[in-house]
Amino acid sequence: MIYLDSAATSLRKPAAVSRAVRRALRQCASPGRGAYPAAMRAADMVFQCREEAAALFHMDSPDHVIFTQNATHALNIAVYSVVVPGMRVAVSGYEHNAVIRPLVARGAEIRVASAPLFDREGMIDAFRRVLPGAGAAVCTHVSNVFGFRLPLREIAALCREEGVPLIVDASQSAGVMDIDFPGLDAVFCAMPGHKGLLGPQGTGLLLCRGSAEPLLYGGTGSQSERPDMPEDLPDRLEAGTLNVCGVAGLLEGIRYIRRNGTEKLAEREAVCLTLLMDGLARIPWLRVFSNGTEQIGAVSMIPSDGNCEALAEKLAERGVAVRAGLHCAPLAHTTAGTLSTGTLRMSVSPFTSAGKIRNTLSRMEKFKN
Amino acid sequence: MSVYILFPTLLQAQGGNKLLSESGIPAQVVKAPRQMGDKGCAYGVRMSERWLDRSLRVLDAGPIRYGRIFVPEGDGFREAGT
Repeated sequence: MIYLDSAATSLRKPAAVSRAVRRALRQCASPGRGAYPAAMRAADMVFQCREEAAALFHMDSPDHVIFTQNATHALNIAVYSVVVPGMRVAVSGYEHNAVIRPLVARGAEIRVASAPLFDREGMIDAFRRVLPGAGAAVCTHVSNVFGFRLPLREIAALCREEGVPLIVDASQSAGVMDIDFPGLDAVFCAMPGHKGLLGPQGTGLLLCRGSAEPLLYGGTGSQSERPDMPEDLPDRLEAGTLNVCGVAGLLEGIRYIRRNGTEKLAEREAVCLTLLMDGLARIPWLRVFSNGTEQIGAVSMIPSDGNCEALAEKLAERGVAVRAGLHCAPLAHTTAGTLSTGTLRMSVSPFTSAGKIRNTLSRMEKFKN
Repeated sequence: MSVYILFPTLLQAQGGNKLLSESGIPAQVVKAPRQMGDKGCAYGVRMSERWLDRSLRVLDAGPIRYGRIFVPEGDGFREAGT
């Protein structure tokens, strides 16, 4: 199989990740409950993962690194902590449903900062227009549909000037771009553990600047006589048993990233993505949404007959795994003008090889659309 | 004899233990005896009584908040400072 759906999940992981998961299944009990060796072993491992994550994102303390089930869970906590019903919230025109749906459920008045695809200056201007009067802002770092790298630092600076708390969705950037969380001055940064961080599914991280409101209430293994959730992080946001095996795998994923460096991993991805985009551009029946410098990890395209799903199926029959449709981001398609067809998306990881890209292109070149 | 320094969360107990260990103080993260936690389950670090003063100096110089301290008394413990 040629796997080109890393924007959904990174299927290939470092070998240490699955070894760690298997080991944790056998040896780790539940942290923060008992005090016997298997529980303390689990607690130590979880502690190390928090520390590694804190270091990766330039944070002083691991206390504000929260484990979640995925980025969606993390974004929900962030939205529920910051947004109140009726609040005006500025969002980019490329947000995922993991941002839009909680905002709608929360009763937010959503204002979209809309700009053409890959137009960074246009995006900055758009945010400048919608931020005044906003009670919060949410911005994705990289579009999951188009790989468009938004001007996050500039948007964060605008939010700071306007006094608007910013929530960052780093789902497509964590692990392949350096994210200086304290430097952004955002209140929250949400990410999955199972994409760029190379951990297993069922893991995610929420980086918090201050405190937050729990989404889930229950046992924390601490201050049990309180009927309400403890005030201190991370306990306040981590009710119930952690996905210990997942965290064990995530720890190895983060260690791999720190050993290699996000720059080196990003370069590996960029080589493959550039090769892919250059090859796709030569296929006459494909409309490819590409821009070399502002694109990270993913490229979207539409065949001339507009049937992305049929093309995806054809590719799957030939062993190429891609995704077609709206990618849970109808807003992105509305902004880019692709809502009626959706797109077919190919996305790479640091483990994608140039050989697999060439193979994909040669299979596609044989199609007559 | 052992003393206990309690922390608000397990994570802070682990952070405190790491600070102490880096300062050459042998300590261990433990679940605190039930009677020590005023809000229920609590975690702390346990160490020999002779390390207590130095431990508090290390912790006071660092970013980790600690809570109540328990020292031996008779067959049990009393909260230090009471």
